[in-house]
Amino acid sequence: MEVILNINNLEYENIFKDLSIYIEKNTITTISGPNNCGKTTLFRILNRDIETNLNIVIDGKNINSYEEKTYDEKIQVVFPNKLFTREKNLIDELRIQNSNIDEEKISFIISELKLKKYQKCEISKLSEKNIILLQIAKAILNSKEIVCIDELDYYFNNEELKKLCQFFYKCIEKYDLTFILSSQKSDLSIYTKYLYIINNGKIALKGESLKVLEKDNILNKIGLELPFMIDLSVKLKDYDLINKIYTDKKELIDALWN
Amino acid sequence: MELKYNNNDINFTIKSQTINGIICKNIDDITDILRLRYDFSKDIKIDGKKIKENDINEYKRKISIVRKDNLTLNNYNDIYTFMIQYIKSNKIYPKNTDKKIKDSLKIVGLNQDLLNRNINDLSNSEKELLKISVALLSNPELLIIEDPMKGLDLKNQKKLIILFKRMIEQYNKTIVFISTESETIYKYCDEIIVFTNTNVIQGKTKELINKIELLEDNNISIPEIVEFTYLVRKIKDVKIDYYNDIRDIIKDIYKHK
Repeated sequence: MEVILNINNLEYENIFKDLSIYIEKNTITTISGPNNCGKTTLFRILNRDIETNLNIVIDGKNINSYEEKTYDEKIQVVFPNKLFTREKNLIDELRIQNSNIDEEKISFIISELKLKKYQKCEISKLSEKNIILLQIAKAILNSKEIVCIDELDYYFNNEELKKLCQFFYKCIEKYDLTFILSSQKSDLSIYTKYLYIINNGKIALKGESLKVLEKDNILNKIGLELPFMIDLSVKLKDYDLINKIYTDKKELIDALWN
Repeated sequence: MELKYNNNDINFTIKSQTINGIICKNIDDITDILRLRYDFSKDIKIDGKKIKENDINEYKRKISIVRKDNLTLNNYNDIYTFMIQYIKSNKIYPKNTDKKIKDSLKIVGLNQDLLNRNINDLSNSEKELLKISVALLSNPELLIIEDPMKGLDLKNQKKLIILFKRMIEQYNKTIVFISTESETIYKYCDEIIVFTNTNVIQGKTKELINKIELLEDNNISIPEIVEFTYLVRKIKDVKIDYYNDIRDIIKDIYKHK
């Protein structure tokens, strides 16, 4: 396992007490937790909006030691709904700040995100969802290593999240990227490899998503709702009606009545 | 407040002292009716009475809307100014403005320290709770919430439902949730109104919960618990009942094994 991002014993104001996170390269990791547990603060630290002298390492170097341009190429952090210059059109917004324009990459991203028909559309006329997709497109275009997206599940439903994660996996394969997503619900983590749960400034749970989600007692205590299929499977497993966790409804039904 | 909308194509009733849920494709269209936009008001009866043109503004003051987007919120830098502006523009005359503002934050579980913060620094959940607290400043009889519970964890959701139920039971308020998604509506509402492609279906949640085709035919997402029950009945012909609580469905599965 190659670690691309290390956060070691992070302490910050009253928000984090000894928080450690290791992000595996070429994977998608969800960082979840109850409201106001510090997910957005963590992303602001990664975006260097908040200056710290803390031990956060990307690619073997402390984040503070990178030049701005190099850092922007290493990591892009998306805070959905941040306003763009709205008089630009979508395709111009994607090309801005991008000295070596990779037309093939632009074409792939906007086609996968179903933004092709809005290329010439002014940003002010795009829907909220399409503006966020544009932000994601821009981050993927500009990052060579890590893309972080804050509170993705605030804007997209489960079906849309599933499709977005499928697209992120294609980007991992094609462009050697790593994704870190923050989420208030645990549903998103079903589609990602790893899940970290932050609570009271510390990591409450971590590991492969499905294994973490099985710990329903701890998650409920924290105030996180389990995805329906996980919740149902865990409870049926407790009653010895099934012996594993199912994410697919038809497979679970077959397991119950075959 | 009971609000009855009745024209040739669309008829529905927002039931008084209830959490009403509306599932529709276009939230703005429905909100326009409920906020008594002039061209709809002629087809509306409130508490059994037609609205006279001169009375529209008075009725409007009894209705508060929590919008799904943060556009109005994003126009302000600090929260205190935003709340003061809301009080002025909605012609609310509290005896003690600062106390009113602090109380409205407290009621949704927000700390008054929030008043010193910049709106851009708030998390999405804080913005959602702030929008509700602002909507409550005018002490509305009818509270309309677009995309309810968005971005809120289970603890905050439970806290809000307790608050809404208290508003209904102790202060005779009426609540409306409007969403394009059915999950939250089925979970928390007692009365459901579904806007289909051709008409409007209304009923108690318990009565509508098994009408899968209604949602399917109109491309409306089906709550996961309902879809699971539907598939069990369809694929295995096992007659488990429709519930909206996972503990009930577990008992029924156990019984039918």
